[in-house]
Amino acid sequence: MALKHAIRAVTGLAFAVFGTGATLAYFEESIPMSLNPLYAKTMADHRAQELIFDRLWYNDAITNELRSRVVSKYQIAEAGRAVEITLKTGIRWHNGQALTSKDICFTIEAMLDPGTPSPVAAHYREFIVGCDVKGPQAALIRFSRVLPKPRERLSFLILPASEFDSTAVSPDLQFSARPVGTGPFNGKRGLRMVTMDAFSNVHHTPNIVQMQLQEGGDPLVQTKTLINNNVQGIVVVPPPQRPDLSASDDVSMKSYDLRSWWYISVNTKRGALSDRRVREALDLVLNRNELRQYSIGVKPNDKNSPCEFISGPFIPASPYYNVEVDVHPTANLAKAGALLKQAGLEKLGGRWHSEGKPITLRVGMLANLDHEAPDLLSQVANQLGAAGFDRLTSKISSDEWDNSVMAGSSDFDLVIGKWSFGLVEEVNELFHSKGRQNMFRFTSDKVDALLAEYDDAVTDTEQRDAYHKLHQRLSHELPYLFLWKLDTKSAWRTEVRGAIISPYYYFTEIDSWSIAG
Amino acid sequence: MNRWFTITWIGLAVGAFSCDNPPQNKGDGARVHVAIDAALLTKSWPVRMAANAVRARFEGHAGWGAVFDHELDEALVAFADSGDQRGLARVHQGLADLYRQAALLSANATVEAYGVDAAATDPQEMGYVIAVSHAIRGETDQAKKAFEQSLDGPVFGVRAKAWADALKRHSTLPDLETLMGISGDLGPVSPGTEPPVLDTPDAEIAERSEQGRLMAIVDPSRFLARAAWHEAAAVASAPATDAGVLKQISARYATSRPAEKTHLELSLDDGWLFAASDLNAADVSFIAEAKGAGLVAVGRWSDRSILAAALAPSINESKLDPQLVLDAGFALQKQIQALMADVGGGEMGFHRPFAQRARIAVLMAGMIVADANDQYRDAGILRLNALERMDQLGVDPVFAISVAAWDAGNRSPMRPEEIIHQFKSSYPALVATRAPLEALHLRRSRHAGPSNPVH
Repeated sequence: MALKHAIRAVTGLAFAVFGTGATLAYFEESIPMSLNPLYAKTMADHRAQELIFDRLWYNDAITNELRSRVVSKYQIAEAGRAVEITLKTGIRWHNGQALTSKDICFTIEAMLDPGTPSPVAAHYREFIVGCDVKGPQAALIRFSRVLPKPRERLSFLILPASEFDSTAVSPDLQFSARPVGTGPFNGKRGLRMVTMDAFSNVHHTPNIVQMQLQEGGDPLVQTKTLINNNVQGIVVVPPPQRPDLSASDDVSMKSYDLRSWWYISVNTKRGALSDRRVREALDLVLNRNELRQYSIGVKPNDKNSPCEFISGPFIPASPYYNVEVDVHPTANLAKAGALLKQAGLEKLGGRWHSEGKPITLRVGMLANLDHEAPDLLSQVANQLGAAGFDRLTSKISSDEWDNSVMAGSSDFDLVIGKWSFGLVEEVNELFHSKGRQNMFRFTSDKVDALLAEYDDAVTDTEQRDAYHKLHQRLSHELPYLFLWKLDTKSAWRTEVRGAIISPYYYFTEIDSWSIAG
Repeated sequence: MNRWFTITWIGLAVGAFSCDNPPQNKGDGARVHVAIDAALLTKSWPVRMAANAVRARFEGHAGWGAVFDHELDEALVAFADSGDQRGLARVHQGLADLYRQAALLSANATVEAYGVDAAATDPQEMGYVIAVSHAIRGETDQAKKAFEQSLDGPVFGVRAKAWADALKRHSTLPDLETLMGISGDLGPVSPGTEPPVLDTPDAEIAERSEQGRLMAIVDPSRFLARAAWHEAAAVASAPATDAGVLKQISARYATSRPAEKTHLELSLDDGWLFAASDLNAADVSFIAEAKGAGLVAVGRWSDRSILAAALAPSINESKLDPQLVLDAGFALQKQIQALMADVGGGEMGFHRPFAQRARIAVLMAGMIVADANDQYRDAGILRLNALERMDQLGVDPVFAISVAAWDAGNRSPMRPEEIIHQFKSSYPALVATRAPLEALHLRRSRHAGPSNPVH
């Protein structure tokens, strides 16, 4: 009955907004946290921003050819330390103003401004040193060193100079909810939905009048709503829902090339968890086969499983994955118990105690992951409980995740999460003692040294070897308990034509999308 | 138990689906653009095999079950035990195609990683591997030049000479004997077996860097040799009357674009068609011809070939419209399902997966025609749609590796890495394609735009 109400509620919402034949409503993992490209933190942010803004250069989703919708010509300058670009004429911002080279240089200056606390910008500061306006449509982008393939690096989204008072762009501006871009859609974020209206331009001719991004809730409700044609797509379909959708001729399952892996991050600063042996014991307490089966629906012997165990911070198909580091599909409670005793813990009345007090682990999980891996949080908690740990569990909202967990100020002991990557699978920010995404401020001189080895590598062999050693080291130090990689699949109704999905960015080819009938 | 036999033996009528199944929306999502002449369509293997008597030969046979499930490794073992020569020949031909595409994958990744993205630290010997890669890609002049420059190499000099001599004799790829002379003996051709897999690189050579790390180098000749070995095993297995059939069938995954020429429709035993991407005998000839002739072949064959007939309405102003091909595939699936119900006396559980094969076959045929018609991107759209459609039915490893090869040629390493990972346990020889793919990934990654881990 509750399910029926939920379906009706979502259906009503979908009907309310799905009126014209050219409106496309879809379920996202979550409502984007920010529509400002400098502050993209979730994949939902990236995907939505791809509809609203243009990147300077992008890769064709089919042929991988490097292209630009905004640059008409370019040339390498200053012996490889700069690139001069000429913009196409006639491109308008959503506020009606013309795109000029001032906007390109503004975007770069905003990224270079120390007053812009953007993790996205931080990487660009490592190789861009400035931008000079050379004319209304011409700009010179200067680098700190010779770049062999500069266009491949210049994939940032372009911001409008006219919408900002300063190059110091903060995350809390109105722009994050009501952005202005040159992309095919003009979007605004509400509490429960992002609506994006088509904006025709000389470089974009969207066939869809309006896109409506809705937060996906219960996966079963999402599936029923899609099959009943009350939304047209689901960006992330959890594995248990895939057979139902595959069975329908009205829906196409689509691959989405995204490298995602799941983990439990361990607060190595707190109590007994600072002892490596305790972390190893926790790793051995986990029965990953059962976690995967009960939360994702994949059984141990399933062939070509979309979900595969990992022993380090890469997916098994990655060049960086070290195949010599074993995964632990099942629990080994005896060994875990021995390690805990070695670490000085005592088991009294079936509960583990440290310094005479029972250990209570505070376990959290990013709330929207519960849709993709239902009940994972409680399954993990159950296994910890069965092994003799008291635990407190809570789901973490996106805001709390961002403001507390990632800021390093949360009091969780264990946090369940997922990281996603594209072509670049760098994990330095996650594990370096000064990494911007090192959530529990884990520190290890050996890990830092390996990350430096990766950064300093001259050849790709050296770089790969450094990450293989890192993988090995992390499986020893265990700042994370690595769980699995999980393939991402989308589902779109067959009325949605030309639905080409770009690796990582997703909606890059939205101009080819249309709705039949 | 394999998937097909599960479906077949249960033989569920569609009406018997439990109420837990999702409701089927009766409205077709895609507009039906084409209906094939029913008389022609009744010649398709899915429709004919809706009849129990026609299907009986394949049911309950482990080899054919594995063929249906695209498990070539398992099919090889099963056919070796059963003595079904045609089945064995088909599997060997499939493995020949698989390794020829693996050679192309390795070649494309090599040229992109060590040629286009060459690093000053790469060992000098890499020139030989690039030369082999050019040869595999059909860039014979570049290959000859590069082999000449590799003759003095201390590691691959002998191999370079063998290749250079072979290309002087014929401009085509060397034969099995020559290839085994280059990359190592695979043993006598013995149908029903798989030659031993070399699990080490062909050489490990120090990079020209301060650290001088050893770099694993794989000579793509090894894949060509394996492909030629299986091709010889296919010829040895097939009944003598089927020699021409093998030649036509092998055209689908040929790595070079053939000259435009006409083909004859051959008489085909069902062993060549069951669960194949060719729906009737004329489709085999059409595909062989379309590889070179593209749209012209569609016109020539649309009265006999089901695939050509399905594609014909998708041609607009001398171009194949990929969206119309997608629609045509869906329409064909529906039409086949209806005909199967007529033949079989009602809808059965296996009808849909059979008909979905036909849908995918249309996309693959469209891809071949678009490629031959210089519609590279459109062919890519159809290629990726075909791969996606396979996901729910079981992925054809030969097609998947061909997609991986195409991706590598586009400098895109991620999907190929996933595909190789998926198939490496069934076909361990494929693991050797990882070395150049990884190099391509790492080199592209070093030049790519910055990116943070995202939750």
